[in-house]
Amino acid sequence: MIAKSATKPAKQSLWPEGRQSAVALAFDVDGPTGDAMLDGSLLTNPRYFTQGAYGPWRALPRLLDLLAAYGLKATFFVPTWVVEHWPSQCERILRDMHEVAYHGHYHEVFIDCSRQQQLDIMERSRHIFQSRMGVTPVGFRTPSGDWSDETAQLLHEFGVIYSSSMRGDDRPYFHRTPRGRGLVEIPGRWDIDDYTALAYTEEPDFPIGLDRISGYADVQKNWCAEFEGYHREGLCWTTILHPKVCARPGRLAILEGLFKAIAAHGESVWATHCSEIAKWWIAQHPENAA
Amino acid sequence: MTSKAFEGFWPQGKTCAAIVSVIFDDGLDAVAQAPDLKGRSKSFSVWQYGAARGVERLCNAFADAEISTSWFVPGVVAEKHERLLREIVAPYHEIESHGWDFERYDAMDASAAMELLKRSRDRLSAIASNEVSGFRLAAGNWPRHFDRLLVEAGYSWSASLNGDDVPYSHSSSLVEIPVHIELEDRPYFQFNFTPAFPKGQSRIPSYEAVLGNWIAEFDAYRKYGLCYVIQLRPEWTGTPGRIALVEALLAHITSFDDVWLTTAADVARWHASKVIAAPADHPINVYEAYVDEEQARER
Repeated sequence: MIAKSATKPAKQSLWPEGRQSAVALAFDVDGPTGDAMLDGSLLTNPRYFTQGAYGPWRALPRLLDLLAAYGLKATFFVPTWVVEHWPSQCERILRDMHEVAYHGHYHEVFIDCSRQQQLDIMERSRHIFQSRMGVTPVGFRTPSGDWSDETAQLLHEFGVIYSSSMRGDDRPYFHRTPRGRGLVEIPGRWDIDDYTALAYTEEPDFPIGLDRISGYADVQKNWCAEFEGYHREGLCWTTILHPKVCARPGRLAILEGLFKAIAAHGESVWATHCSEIAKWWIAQHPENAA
Repeated sequence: MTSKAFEGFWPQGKTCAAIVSVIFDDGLDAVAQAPDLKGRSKSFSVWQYGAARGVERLCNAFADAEISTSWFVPGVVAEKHERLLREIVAPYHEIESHGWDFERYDAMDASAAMELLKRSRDRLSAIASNEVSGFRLAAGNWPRHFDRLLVEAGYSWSASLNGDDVPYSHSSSLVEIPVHIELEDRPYFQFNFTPAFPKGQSRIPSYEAVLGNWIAEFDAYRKYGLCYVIQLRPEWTGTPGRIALVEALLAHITSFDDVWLTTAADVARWHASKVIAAPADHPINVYEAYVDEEQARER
C-alpha cells in the first residue's frame, strides 16, 4: 500500500470573514432576442416570439417575487432590446436591489462580430441602460456562444470590470491582456444552465435532436448537488438560468428548492451580485502582486 | 405586477382554470415531418394506434373522471373517422378545428385560407354536438393578422400561441388560450426508429417523472391562479401503460374543488365576455410592435 501524499492545501477562505463560499445567482433575461431575431426568421414566427416574450412578461415578475421571499440578490444579464420593450419589468430588477449587466442588444453572437460591431453593440446597450434605467452596468456575459479574441480587452477598455462567460474554472480569475491584468472572470458551467435540462422548442428545434424535457425533481437534485459541491469546497458558484425556461410556473418550485438549500447554510454563503464578487476579487489581488 | 391572479379573476370563486385537450391527428403530424411514412406500414401504424385504440381508451378515462374535454381534429381526419368521433367523442366532448389537412396558412392567400377554415368548421360542426368555435394551428407559422381571418371564418378563439398563462385577446377580439409544450404528451413520448422521431432518437423518459412534471405544473398553475391546458394525443397516452398517467393527473386535478375544470370554449367565452384588451407590453402586442419596427427600418 502506498501512502497518500498530503495534497490538500491548508483551508484559507477566498471570501470575506465568516463566508465559506460565494454564490452569484445569475439570470439571462433574453426574452425573444437571439438567433431567430438576428436572422429575421422571428418576424414570421409569432408562436416562437411569444414563447420568448413570456420570459420578461410573466416569468421574470414571479422570479423576482421568489428571490424577494428568500432575501436573495441576483444578477440579471439583459439584452437591451428587452429593456426597450419591457421597461417596467426591467426597472423592478433594480428596485429589488439586484444587478443588471450587459448581454448584447439583440443577444448578438460576439465571435461573428468585428471589433467595431462589438463596440457599437456595447455603446448602444450602455446608452439604453443609462437612458431607460439610469444605470451603467459593470458586468458582461457573452450571449450565444463564444466571443472573439479581442472581446475581453475591448470590454475592459470600455469600462466593464467583470465577465461571466467562460467555463473553465470554478472560482474567479483575471483575464490577461497585453497591457497586464484585464477583466475579472466569474466562470459558470453548463451543468447549471437550464437549457441543458429543461429548454424545449419545436420549429426551431431545441435541442437539435429533440431530446426530452428532464423530470423536474431530478433537475432540482442536480442543481442542489452543484451548489452543495461548490459550497463544500469554498468556491464561487454562478448560474446560467433563463426566466423563460426556469421560471415557468411549475419550474419555480425547482428554484425554490434550490433557494432553500442555499438559505439553509445561512451566512456562510455569500450570496451576492457578480459585481460585488468581482470588486472583492480585485481588492484581494492587488495588481502588483498578481 | 403581482405573481398571483387577483381574487375574483376566475368565475364562481374558483382559484384557477384547467382544460383537458386532445389532439387527434391520426398521423398527419408525423407525415408532415416525414412524407414517406405513408408507404411504411409498420412505422405508420405507430400513429394509427390512436384511432384504433387510443381514442376510446382516453374517452373511458375521461368518463371515469366525469369530465368534458376539448378535441382538436383536422377536417380530413373527421371524414375518415366520422363514426368514431360521432359515437365515442361527440356525445360527451367538444370538437374544435385543427385545420383541414395540415395545410400551411403562411403559404397560401387569404381566399384559399378562408375556404379551408370554413370547410373545416362546417365539416366538424356536422359531427360535433357543440358549435365549432375554436381553432388550433396545425402546421406552419401563424400569418400576420390571421386572427382577423379566423374571426371572419366564424371562429371566436384559438389555442395556438404562447406568451401567457391566462387567456388574452388579439386586436380583432379573437381570444387566445395560450398553450405550453411541456404540457403536451408528444415531446415526452413520441418515438419511432426509421424515420426517427424524435430526430435524436431520445430515450423514452420515466413515466413517473413525466407525471411529476405535469402535476408540478398543475400545482403551480393553481397556486398562481392560471389557466392549465394539458394536451394529449391518443397514440401517445391512450395506451395501456400510460393511461394510468392520465388517470392519476385527472384524479389529482379533480381532488380540488376550487379548480374550474371545463372546456376551452367555456374559458374562451368567459374571457370574451370581459372585453379586456391586452396591454401594450403584452407579448402579442410587442410582437406587432416588433414587426412594425423592423418594417419601418427597412423602408
